Order: sequence, then C-alpha cells, then structure tokens
Amino acid sequence: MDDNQIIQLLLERNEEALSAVSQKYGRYCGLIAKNIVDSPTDVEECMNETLLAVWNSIPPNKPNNLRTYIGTIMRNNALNALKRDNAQKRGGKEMEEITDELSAFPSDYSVESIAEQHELLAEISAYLNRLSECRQKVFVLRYWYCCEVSEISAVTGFTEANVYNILKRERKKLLEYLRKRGMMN
Amino acid sequence: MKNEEFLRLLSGIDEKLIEKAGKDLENYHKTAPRYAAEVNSRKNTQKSVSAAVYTEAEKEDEVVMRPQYFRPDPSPKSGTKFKRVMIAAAAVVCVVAAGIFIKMNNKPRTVSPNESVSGGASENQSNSSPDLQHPEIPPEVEKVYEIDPIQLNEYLSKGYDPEKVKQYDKLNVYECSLMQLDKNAFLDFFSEPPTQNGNSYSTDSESGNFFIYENTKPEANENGEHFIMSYVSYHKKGIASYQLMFDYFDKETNEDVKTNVLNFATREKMEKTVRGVLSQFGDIEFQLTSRVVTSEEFSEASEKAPDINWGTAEDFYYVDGIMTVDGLPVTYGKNTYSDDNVVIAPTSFYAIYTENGLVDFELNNVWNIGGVISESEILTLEDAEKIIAEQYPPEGQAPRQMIFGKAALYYRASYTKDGLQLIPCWGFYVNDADPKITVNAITGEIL
Repeated sequence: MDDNQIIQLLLERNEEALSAVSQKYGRYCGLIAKNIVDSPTDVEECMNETLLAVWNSIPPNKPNNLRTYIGTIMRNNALNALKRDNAQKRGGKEMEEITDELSAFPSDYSVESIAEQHELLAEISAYLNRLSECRQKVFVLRYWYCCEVSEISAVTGFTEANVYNILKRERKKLLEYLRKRGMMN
Repeated sequence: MKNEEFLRLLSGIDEKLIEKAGKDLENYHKTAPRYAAEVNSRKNTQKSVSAAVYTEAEKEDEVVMRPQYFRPDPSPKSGTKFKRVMIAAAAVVCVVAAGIFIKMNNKPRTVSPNESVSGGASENQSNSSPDLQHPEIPPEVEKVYEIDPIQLNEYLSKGYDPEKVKQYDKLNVYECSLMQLDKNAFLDFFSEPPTQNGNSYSTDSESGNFFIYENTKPEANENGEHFIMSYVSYHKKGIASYQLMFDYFDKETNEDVKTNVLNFATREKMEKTVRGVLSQFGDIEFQLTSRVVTSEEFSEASEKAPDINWGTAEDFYYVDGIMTVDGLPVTYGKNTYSDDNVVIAPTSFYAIYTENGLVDFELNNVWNIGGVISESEILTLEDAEKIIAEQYPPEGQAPRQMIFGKAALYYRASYTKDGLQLIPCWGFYVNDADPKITVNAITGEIL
C-alpha cells in the first residue's frame, strides 16, 4: 500500500491504516527506537504510542512525507521513554555519549521560544545541506538516528576513526556557523 | 545527560536529510542478516584452511574466497567470482582515473618513501622512522593509489614485515591510565591555556577562519558512474587538511565505494617543532600517521577555489600522529570487561605550523604507561589467522566478510577486569586505517 492510500485510510478513519503503517514502517521505527531506548518492551511501547499519535494527528495533519513524519514521532516517543528511563537511572551509555557530544549547543528552550527554535532548526538544516552527502549522513545517523559510531562506519563505509573525526569537525563547524548567524552566544 | 533538549530539537531538521540517511540505515540492516546466514553456513568448510581471508563486502551479499588461500568454494556460486573480478576491474579503472585527475590538478610533489601511504598503524610501524625523518624523493605521488583496496589484496604482507616482527617475539602487557595534561606546560608553550573537552586538549585558535571547499566531479563509463570528490578545509592561516575522496558507485551492485586516495607529506622543520611541543608534556613517543602538503603545492588546486588565498610555500604544514609504545602504535581501545561496547578514542595529536609557529595543536587521549603486568610470547601471524578462520564471525554477531589487505602488531588500550591495560594485538586490516578484526596477541582472544 502506498503512502497516499494509507493517508486516505487515516482520513477516512479506517483502522486498516494502522496495520498498514505497522507493516510498512514498523521495521524503520524499530531501528530508530532501538538506538535510543534499551529494552524491547520500551521499543514496543514507543511503537504503540506512535500508532496512536499517527491516528490522532492525521487528520488534521496531512504529511507530505509519511515515512519521515512517522519516524519523527517515533523518535520523539523514544526520547520521552529515555527521559523516563533516566529518571529511573536506566539510561543507555551510548545516548549519554551522544548528548554529551552535544553539550556545547544551546539547551534552554521554552514554549515562548518556538519561533526561535524554528529559526535555529532552519539554520541547522541549511548548514547540513551545504555538506557533502556522506558528511550529512554521518551527522544525521549520529544525532537523529542516534547510531553508534561502529554502526555509522558500517553503513557509510567510513572507518570509525573517520566517523569520529567527521563528527567532531562538523560539531565545531556547526557551532561556529550558528554563532556567526547570531543563533548562539 | 547534558543536552537531551538539543537532541530533541533536531527532530525537526530537514526531512530530506532524515530520509536519505534513514534509507541507508534501513538498507544496511535489511541486508546484514543475509550475510550472517551465509557466512555461518560456510564456517565449517573454512575451518581447515590455512588463512583467514574473507571478502570485505559491507553491502555485498556473497562470500568470495581467494583461491591461493582457500579450497574451492563447494557451493554453486559460479557467477560470484566473475562479478567480483568485474567490480575489481572497475575499481582499478576508477583508481587510474583518480590518478589522472590528481596528476592533472596538482603540481608534481615530493613524497617521502618512509611515509605511510594509507595512514595505517602497521605501515607506520614498518615505514616511519622513530625520529620522524622523512627524506625527499622525486615525485611519485601516484604511489598513493596503492591504498586502493583491490590492489592491496595481494597478501597480508602490506604493513607486515616478518623480519621486523621477529623483534617482537615477546611483548608486555602494561598498566595504563589516561594522562592528565600539564596545563601549565601548555600555557608556557602557547601562552594560552588549553581548551579541554574530555581527554582532548587543544589551542583555541580553531575559532578562527574556517572554510571548507568541496568539489565533486562526476565521470561515467560502461561500468557505472564515478565521483571524484575533493575536500579542502582552509583553516586560519593555512590548509588544515586536504582529502581527496574517490567515490565509486557501481550501478549493477548499487554499491558505493569510498576510498581516501590522498594523504599528505610533511616537513622536517615542522616535525622538529611538533616534537618540541610534545616533549613539554612528558616522555611520549609518537609517530606520524599522515603526510602534509605545503601551500605552494596547493597553488595548482587553487584554481578550483579561486577565492582562497593559498599563501606561499613554507606558510603552513599540517601533521597528525599517534602515540607509540615499544615502537608499536597505540590505537583504538575497547571496553572488553563489559558488553557496553564503549570505544576508547585513539591517542592522537594534530598540529598546524605556520611562519608564526604552531597555530593550532590538539592532543587526545594520551596514556600514562604504568608498570609491566606480564611479559609473554606473542602469537605468530599464522596462529592469529587460524584463530580467525576458526572463530569468526562469533555466534549471533552480524557478519564481517573481508579479504585482509594487511596485518600488523599494535598496542590497544582496553578496560579489562584488572583495570586499564595496554595489550599487544594483531590487527587485520582491509583497506582502512583501523583494523577490522583484532586478536589479542597473547591469549588469542578475538577482541
């Protein structure tokens, strides 16, 4: 079933849409969540929450890219689960490393600053779009899909040392870029 | 956790970026289990052969055996070898194309025979002299193409010098700890305190001008499309690094092969200065891992980026290096004590030297070497190969199918149940600076 058909079913409030989403994007969502939360139970829970969120949000939403839309919801749900896990001191070390790597970036977001967040996101996207495709992938695999360095190395063909170097350099350059754009102090 | 909020914010980045990376990730995971089944089904037939040589095929779905080391493949895969040969031939063609490209776009430059071609630890071990001397030889930059994986697959002798390894029939296991850098020594030398990030210490000059130039030149022939990509990062007063990537896309296999085909030479003057700064922080042995080019040597390249003022010769040099112990490089470490796969970042430094001296310097993860825990005879290369043939890949692990291009001895920093240790290891390389498989050279354990 293609994405338009799935969206149409959702708009018609037909529950078949959910099994279609699950069948088509379950694996993809699993890949996203497994890097963020440790336990299979959490992954499953995130998937259920994601299906519910898709059901509740389409309509009114009508995403252009269903795959990314669902992936983003799954990622956010997994991050929520991670937050719960952290509160119970069950966080994964890899996620700790990833968030540590991002420690130099701003973290004080509030509801009032939604416009600023959009602006910041636009700048980050603009910066990433200037990079070569391989560097984009390394960055996104690490900081969006939360992959381990060894996994990024396997996916991209770069050595682990190269992945480390690319990440380090791109973090620094992104920080510098955002500073120049006045997005950071 | 330090910045979960920023990670959460990144959920909203450009969808196209998410989709591109996601497809690669999904494809990788789709194909990986198939390799595992295939390799495991062949393990029994491989146990009796003399060498552990698999086909490195991160996105390739068939095991290829090399006739000189393996018995004929008993399973009916008649097309496999031909396909592999065709891919190899295509890759060689691409490498030649890259060579022509380099030749056309760079002045003949001098490279030293003692410098590492691939930057691999083993080549440094066998080729770099401990005093960092690099005599000049006539321009033969084409030699760098030897790092192409296809050409490396001659035998494990690349980076492995049997005569040299004889010196190491016994090696030590050392206690070790991460060094806390003497910040006052740093301050004395650079007149500024180091910027510290974990175990990484650097000058702050990186906040200066930064420019990266990237160029992709597509070519095509009957085997598919080839992309030759060059990266130049322009850093403060000089080039911080230059990397020419060879990107080969094979339409038939849908395989993207990337190879770094060019590293750079360095110069004695800078080496002396680098040695000087390193000596400030203790009695640390280092060797170079890459070569550097001067600004003059890049003047030809400047036509590709006319906005850059490349400066004149002797303006700047870039070098990076790696720590050595007993003449062997200290590379990646891993937490072998638990299953959390924590990788200990490699010991390394880099420096940029200009007419004003060192303008940029970074030192990462330097180890304090403690007492000798034990001295033991090490496994021979042949023993290590047999271990891999018998035990690789481990049950339940995603497959790694590879032809090894070289093997080398090195020290690996590892967390063990007895604490942090430097352990001598045999590393088996495919075409990278990092070993794909590591065997504890004393116990024979695959790490």
